[in-house]
Amino acid sequence: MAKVPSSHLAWVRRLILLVIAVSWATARPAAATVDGLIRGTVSDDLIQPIPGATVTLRSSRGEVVQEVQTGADGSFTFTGVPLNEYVLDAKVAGHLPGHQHLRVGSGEVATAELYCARPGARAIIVEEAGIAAPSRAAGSVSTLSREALKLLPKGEDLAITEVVSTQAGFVQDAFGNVYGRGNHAGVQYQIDGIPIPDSVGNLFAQAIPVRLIDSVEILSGGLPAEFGNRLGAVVNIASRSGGAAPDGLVQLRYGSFQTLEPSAYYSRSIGRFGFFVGGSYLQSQRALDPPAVTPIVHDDGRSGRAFFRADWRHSNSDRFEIFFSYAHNFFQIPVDPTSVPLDPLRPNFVRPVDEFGNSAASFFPADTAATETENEVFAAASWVHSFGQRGRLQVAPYYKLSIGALYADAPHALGATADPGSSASDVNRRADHIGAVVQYSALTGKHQLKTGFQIDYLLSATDFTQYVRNDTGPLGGIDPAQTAGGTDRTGALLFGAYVQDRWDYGRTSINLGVRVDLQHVILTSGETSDQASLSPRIGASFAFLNDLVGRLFFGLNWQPPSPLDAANAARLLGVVPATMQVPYDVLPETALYGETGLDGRIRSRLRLGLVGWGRYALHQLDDVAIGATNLIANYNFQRGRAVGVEGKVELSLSRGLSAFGNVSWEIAQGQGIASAKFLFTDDQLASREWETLDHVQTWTANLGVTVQHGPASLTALLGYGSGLRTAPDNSQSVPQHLRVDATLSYAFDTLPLRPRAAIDIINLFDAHYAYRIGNGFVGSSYAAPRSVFLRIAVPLSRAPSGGSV
Amino acid sequence: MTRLAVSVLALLLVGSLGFCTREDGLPDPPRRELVPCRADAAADDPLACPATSDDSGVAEPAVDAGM
Repeated sequence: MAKVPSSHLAWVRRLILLVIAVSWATARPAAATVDGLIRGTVSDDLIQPIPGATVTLRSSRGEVVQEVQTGADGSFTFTGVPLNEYVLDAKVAGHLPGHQHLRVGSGEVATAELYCARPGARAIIVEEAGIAAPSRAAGSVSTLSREALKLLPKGEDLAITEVVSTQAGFVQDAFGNVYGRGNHAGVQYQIDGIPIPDSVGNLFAQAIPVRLIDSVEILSGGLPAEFGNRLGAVVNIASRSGGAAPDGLVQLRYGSFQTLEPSAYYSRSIGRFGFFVGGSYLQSQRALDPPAVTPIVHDDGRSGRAFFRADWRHSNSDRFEIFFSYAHNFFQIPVDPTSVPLDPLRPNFVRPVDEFGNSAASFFPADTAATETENEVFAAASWVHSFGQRGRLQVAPYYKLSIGALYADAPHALGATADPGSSASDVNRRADHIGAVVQYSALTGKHQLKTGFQIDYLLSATDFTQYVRNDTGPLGGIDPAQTAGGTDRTGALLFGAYVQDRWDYGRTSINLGVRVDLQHVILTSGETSDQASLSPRIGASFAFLNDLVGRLFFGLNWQPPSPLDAANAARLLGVVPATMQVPYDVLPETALYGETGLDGRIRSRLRLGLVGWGRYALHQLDDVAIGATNLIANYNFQRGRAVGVEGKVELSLSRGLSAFGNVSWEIAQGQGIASAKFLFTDDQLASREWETLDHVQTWTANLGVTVQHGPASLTALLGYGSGLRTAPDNSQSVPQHLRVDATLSYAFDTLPLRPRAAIDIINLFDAHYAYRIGNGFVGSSYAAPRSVFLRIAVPLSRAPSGGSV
Repeated sequence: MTRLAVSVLALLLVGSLGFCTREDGLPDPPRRELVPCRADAAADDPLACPATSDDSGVAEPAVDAGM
């Protein structure tokens, strides 16, 4: 609560303006772009419009973003405002300044009401909401600002997947994978309106550095028609750009497993030009989630990230942006210390099944030094042209190169203690994506029309060499006579177009849309596969009260399989002879999806949400991880079904104390394996039972609490999972887990260089738990035991940045 | 307050140097020892007896489906 200084109080007339809900604009269905629009008015204490007032839009860090004058009716408009939180200031001669906080979502028309009282006015009490009003979106949307991300344990060193997994409906798996609402993968990441194509492996999702993010929207269901080719979720990122004041940080992180991570970033703008540049290097003795908590055998890794963004604001109507990112990963593939070799002296002894009935994972001799190396480059350019309030056009071409090399170390993997008949494969993959996004939006009365298309061409090659053990001698090794190799090439053209209309009519918002998707796949043999889809979607929200919104969504979602990974599993596992073409029979999934939800806010400090969702799918897609790697391969079930319920709460007691929590229940099943049958046993292929999918975790909960006081901040994050599925038919769950992370940050503003320090304690109570036990190709994967990291940082800017690093 | 924070930080920094090495210890879970095979088990049963030299062909690599 802010009060006008008492010198201005004359008590002639009492005026109390209670501005609660309007201080946080309501969120609307998100757009493929990251920009929104702000409309508002400036009035005096008699609610009379003030023409000629200067309205300044500032970022939450105080940087001026745009400035306009109000018209004759006191109204103003800001266009092309990237999703984030902002502060609006209004100034006019002879009046007190007005001030308001605002949250803008992508494609949203946010409204603002500013009041500039005359000095003679008695009193103005402006009470701002501590928490955003319920979303008017028809689907499920969460928004996180950079400031909120910095307060999470590990701060900006988090992987984006770790951020996503704190939200309702998401489940975290080993290797940094994250699943949304019962979907395996199916998460679309996009930066500044540009969807990121698939990678070899899952590198890029984890390659997006959180320090690159200015604000992020996470859409976990009820996706408008502009989002295609994904069923699970959309992570819509507005990247950082240079502000008027230089901003930067140099940081060193050190901790458990000899983890060492130097990083730095710097941004500023000069006139119409702005840039943001940064990078990091990480090395650790625990790079992947290994098959046992301890000991960790052969699990070293290192990674590097570099990114650059530059903006050129040519005029008020034209903006250009280029974006470049490079990511490198190298990691050793861990060896399972619990697995034992077969004993030639006891030929009738075999490896036992575990307590869930899972057969033992493939055995690799302890000296096997398998590795995986991944490199990725992503470059994009974007031109945004504004037609004023009439419309906005974005044209964004992009290119992405993704290279992965899996070295199996066959001489050791097929050594003396290896199983007779075993095989190992080296696999090198390269994928080139080139594509473009074009989208246009127009605001006409109560309608916001959007249309656009995306085209993506993929050219990929998988080179493989398969080695088989020489069983004729006691030392094993490679049998040259059985060594074989080859190259699988896949080309794919993906096209999607959409049109949608959001209609705001009083308390009702309706979002209608339809999209068309096409995929044309070309294989090495010349064989082609063509798939197409028409996906209508309709969503609506109704505001029973300003603080109580109900919503409903129905739509068809379509997701093509990843042709990039078509041949990987077969080649890596050697289940298809090297001389044979791997059959490509994987089909797109078509899913009828629906959800309904209710969001409410109580006393402007507490927000509650409840949502129920369901899905019925034809040709349900699922993935398997391959070997002890993060490579994946697609296959289809004949059909699938899933249902879930989520509850969430946000609390802001004061500026210094905030909390969030969510609980999710879900079940997802598939019936009848219908493609990539070379991956499965005869029994599995014959089964017509509904089987729970292995990436389902029935119960998931998160609770986060942050306390800020002066230069210090403390955040605790609690995560609960009832366990992903295990057993040969996924009928059981791995043991439940409860993990607590905590971080304490302090800003030494009085010391030279104004250093910042933070201590991150991950898994505070040292819970030993598995993400996976004997499930799939990966065998078991355990989470990290208690780990402690220290971060020391020096800001390169003068502005105070609070207690968080 | 700043002095206290600096002291705590320095203590943690020095302390962490000795505790941040590779984690070693007994396997968790324990090593899985071999067990006798079952002669009457089906061919795709993990406890089935291995093929002898009289049997035909080379053993197929084990494939398990993670659904």
